[in-house]
Amino acid sequence: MSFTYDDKNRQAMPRCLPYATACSLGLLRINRKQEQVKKTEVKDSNARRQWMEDPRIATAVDLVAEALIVKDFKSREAIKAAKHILSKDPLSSSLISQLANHFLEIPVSMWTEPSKIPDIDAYREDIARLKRSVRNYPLNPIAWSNLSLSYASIGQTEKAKMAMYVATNLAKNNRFILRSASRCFMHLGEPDRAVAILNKSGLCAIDPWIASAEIAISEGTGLKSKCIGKAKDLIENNSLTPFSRSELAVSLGTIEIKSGSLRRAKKIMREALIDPTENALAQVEWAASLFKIDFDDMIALRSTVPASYEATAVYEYYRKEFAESLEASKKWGRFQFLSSRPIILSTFISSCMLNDDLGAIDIFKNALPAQKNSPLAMNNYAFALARIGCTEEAAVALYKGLQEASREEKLVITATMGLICFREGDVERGRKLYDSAVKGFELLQDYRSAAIATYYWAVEEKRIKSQNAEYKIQEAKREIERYNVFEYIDLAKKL
Amino acid sequence: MKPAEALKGLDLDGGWHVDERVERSTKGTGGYSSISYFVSNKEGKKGFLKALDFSSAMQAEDMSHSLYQLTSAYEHERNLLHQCKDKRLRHVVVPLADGTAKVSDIFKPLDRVPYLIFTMAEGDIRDEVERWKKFEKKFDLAWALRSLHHSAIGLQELHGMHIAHQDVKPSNVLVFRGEGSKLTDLGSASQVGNPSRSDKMMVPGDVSYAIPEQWYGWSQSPDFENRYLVDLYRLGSLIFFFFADCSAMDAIQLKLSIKYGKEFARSDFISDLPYMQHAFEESLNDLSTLVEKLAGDLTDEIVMIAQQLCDPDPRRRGDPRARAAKYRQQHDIQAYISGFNRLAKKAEIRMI
Repeated sequence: MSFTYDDKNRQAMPRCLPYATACSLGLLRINRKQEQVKKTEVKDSNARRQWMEDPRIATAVDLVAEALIVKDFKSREAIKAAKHILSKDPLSSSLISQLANHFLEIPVSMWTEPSKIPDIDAYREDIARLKRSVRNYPLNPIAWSNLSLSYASIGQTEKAKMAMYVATNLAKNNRFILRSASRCFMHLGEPDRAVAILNKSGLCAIDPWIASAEIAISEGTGLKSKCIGKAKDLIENNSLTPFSRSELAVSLGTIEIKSGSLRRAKKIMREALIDPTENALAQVEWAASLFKIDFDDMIALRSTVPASYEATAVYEYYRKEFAESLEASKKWGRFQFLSSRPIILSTFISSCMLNDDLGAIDIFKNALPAQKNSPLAMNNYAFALARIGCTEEAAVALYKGLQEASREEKLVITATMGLICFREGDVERGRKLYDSAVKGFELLQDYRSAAIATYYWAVEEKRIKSQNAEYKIQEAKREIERYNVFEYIDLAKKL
Repeated sequence: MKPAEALKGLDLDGGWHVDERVERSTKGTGGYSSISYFVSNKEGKKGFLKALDFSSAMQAEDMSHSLYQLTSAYEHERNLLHQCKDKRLRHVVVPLADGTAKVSDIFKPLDRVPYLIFTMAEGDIRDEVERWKKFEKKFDLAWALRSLHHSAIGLQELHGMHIAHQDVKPSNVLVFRGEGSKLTDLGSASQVGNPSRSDKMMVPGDVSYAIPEQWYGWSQSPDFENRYLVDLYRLGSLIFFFFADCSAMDAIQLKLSIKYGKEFARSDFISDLPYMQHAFEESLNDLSTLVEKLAGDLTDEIVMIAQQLCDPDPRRRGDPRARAAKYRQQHDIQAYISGFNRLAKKAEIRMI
């Protein structure tokens, strides 16, 4: 059986993003509200006076640079100076032409959609560039962090760890480095270290971004968060921007959901929707879909919040708009290049909901090693391979997936092994494996998964036109309906 | 009219005659305003006179305090200049003469205007670079490197007298025929054991040339060493000026502004340092491309010097060997003096 990830314990874990992406999404903006940042003008500045007395490139550069620093983009003299620099173009350096052009341009949204499918060669080129960069300038923690993420994306975990150690040692108090490092260590199976670096920074009490990362990772990995109390103070601190508090709000809201207080969760999560990050929006979408909490403005936000691919994928999935959900999942996979979840979801939708096994195989093959390295992603790949008749390749993929699978995942893999046996003609073994998977799920009280396994068992019985087929089909229909496996209801009817 | 504006035509001590007034800004960055004149003597030697302008202090609310500040800033600079003159510094502009000019009685009781006379420079390095661009259409690499060499010597001379200049910028590097480049304007300088107004300022000197730690008002310690490190940054920034037409800090701010879509806002120095380091690396890449076009195989060494001098983290600024050695100080400029000299010689040899 193909399967999607366990969605019951989603947390707003810090995203794993290269520096440029984090900048373009505004994640490194200051936390204070803009009106509290002192505005300055260049009206009385020395640079302006000198430019007016002696208009030439040098004085123009001084004035434009000063106006850029104080963000006085409306200064008429600074605009004139920028135009003066550009008018002398062949004589001025590329750097000051860039300065003048940048000063004059109207700011547009920095976010651009990731256009191409992640390519391992592109990441290798990136690694070569970043290695050169850290060789020439070893004190740049951002380059080390980016290098670490690139190593992690192609599955070179030890090198990824080493690079991230260097980054964290160079910048122990920087939000971007701390969040990247915690997400990276989390991905590399060291959640304790991920939480420890956040706690050691001392920023949990003052920076909502760090507090939310600490809570999400702790809650997601069964550790006890040390900053929930401080986080509650931060969430009520109105001098912080709603954007900076959005992930913290959803983290606290998730804790409320877990403790059963949906009303309180809704109240807190509503705060997050004032100006959410895509991650916060995805968490709210998750809460709305799974716990049937109704939030206003979600539709508008999905189209305005940049990179809200996960939120869209989840939303469309629960609406049974699987083609749209698949499109969003693919983009999510390009955006979150360390996460296997978008690959799991998109292979599942492609194979099971859209009956496109070749599409699922393509998605898996184009994913990065870090994304493929998940038992469920491999299972879904094997499932698609088996269905198109490549049972040997499927068995190899399943074997790889089995090595690191959890108990639940092993049951999914057992069901897929059942499928392979059916396709290879070993019907009795196939039945035994499906039976063992169904019973295993029932033992874990995961009746939803048991119903899905029963469905695929019935499909195979029907395919070989066995005597058992009708009985299994009825059983599958009954179970799917009984446990409200909404995405299979239509499929079961067609059995 | 202000007393300092009434010097034209006066004969001063030492045979100096006040010729024309220099029409330019009167507000200095060193804590006092001045009015400048061209002067000449009987031997035909041209000079540049800086007359102290009291007028702004007279209009201030707290006149006595403003007057005190103005005169003490002037006295501080004059005192430093005399020390430099006594030590015969080769690459710092020292006064030829100083004194008090008596202007018309109508300005009484402010009819005595203190002044300083300096040797007339050909201009500053901005004028020189602009001249290359306008008329010669060619960058004079050897000249630029020699100018950097001289500026580094000037700083070493000042540091040797426990003076931190704190306002090194292209307009404060003057060019003299036959003598090369010299540092001028000690109006923002500080000296160990000689308290001045600059000591209390977050950014002594021109604010538009403030360096990373000054923007954040951050200091690793109250040590005087930090002031020397400001000089190191500003010296490295001159490399950016010659090859990229802007200061190192301008380049960093530009890169940050591009990355953040004009929305970069400071939080605190230590938190923002990684962003500045990243922006600095991007700036160095651009600088490297620009230097490569003009300096060919000397590029790596020039960029390396810029990298060490302009490191946004003052704790890592300067010669790494000096930082590592117990008997040397972090602000030791000797390695850069040798480096610029070697580079200038290489460039000069190529011109022969």
